[in-house]
Amino acid sequence: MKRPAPLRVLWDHHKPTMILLGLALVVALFFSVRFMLHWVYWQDHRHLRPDIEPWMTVGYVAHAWHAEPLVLANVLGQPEDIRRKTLEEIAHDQNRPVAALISELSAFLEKDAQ
Amino acid sequence: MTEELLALLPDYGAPLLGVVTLLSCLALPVPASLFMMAAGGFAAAGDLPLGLTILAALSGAMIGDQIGYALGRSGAGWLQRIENRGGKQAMALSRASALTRKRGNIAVFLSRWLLSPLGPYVNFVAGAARLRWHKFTLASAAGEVTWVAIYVGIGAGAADQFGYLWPVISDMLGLLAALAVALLLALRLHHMLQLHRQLNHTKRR
Repeated sequence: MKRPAPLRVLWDHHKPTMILLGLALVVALFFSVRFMLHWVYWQDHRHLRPDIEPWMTVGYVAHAWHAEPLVLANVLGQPEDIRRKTLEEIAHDQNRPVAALISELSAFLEKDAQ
Repeated sequence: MTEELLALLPDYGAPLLGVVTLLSCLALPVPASLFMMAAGGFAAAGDLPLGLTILAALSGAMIGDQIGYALGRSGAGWLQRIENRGGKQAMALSRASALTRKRGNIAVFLSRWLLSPLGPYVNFVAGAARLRWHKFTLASAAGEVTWVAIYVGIGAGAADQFGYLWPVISDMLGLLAALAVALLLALRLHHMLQLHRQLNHTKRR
């Protein structure tokens, strides 16, 4: 008598575990594809600085972009007490959209880097 | 949602970070690792005190682990009743919980940082399988220290790569967790296949 194939035996007797294994492998495949896409994107862009986000503080931007916090505060029209204030809050205090503040800051940092 | 939470971080700092890491240990969908990276960046920039940030993340995570363990533990009696019922499923279950009591601390340690998406479930299982409390706590502490050190460190050291790094890291964590689950299931199937072969062998004789 020929011995039945292992996968056949497992599929006949342990269907739920086989289905779970299949699902885990599909999820693993999904994440490996996404990982590769994100990795390539990162390698393509790593010489560029990532975007400045509204949740960042002046201190955070200064640290990440290797600039002086006081210089950046100057660029932003010297808001009072920049410590712990997010760009969003500063823009709100100055009655302007945070996007305008961020593009001003980005333009300065780009010029500064050259 | 994540952006709004991150914007609260410079103001509420350490306590907010503690709450986020605590909730993440209970399987609530909060981006704790991302938060620790941002907190590391704020700390390096001088907007948050580094020591307090680390302490808050650690205490939140360890308290969360203890709550998860206690929740699992409260279901331990129920699990034991199923194990005592007898039969094929009950035997498999009692073997699994015996293995958890013996080696569960390794799973607890690794699922704090390397396989972090599985962490909350490992807490529940460890409690339900009655892994000894001191073994659990020791593994949880060692694992959480590793977790916090890695993410606060990355956040402080690579603040300028934040936006690119996070997608890469979260994909890698998802991949590792899925592979770990697949490996466990494959080992179980391998074991079952051997049992089948033994059974057939004895039948034929």
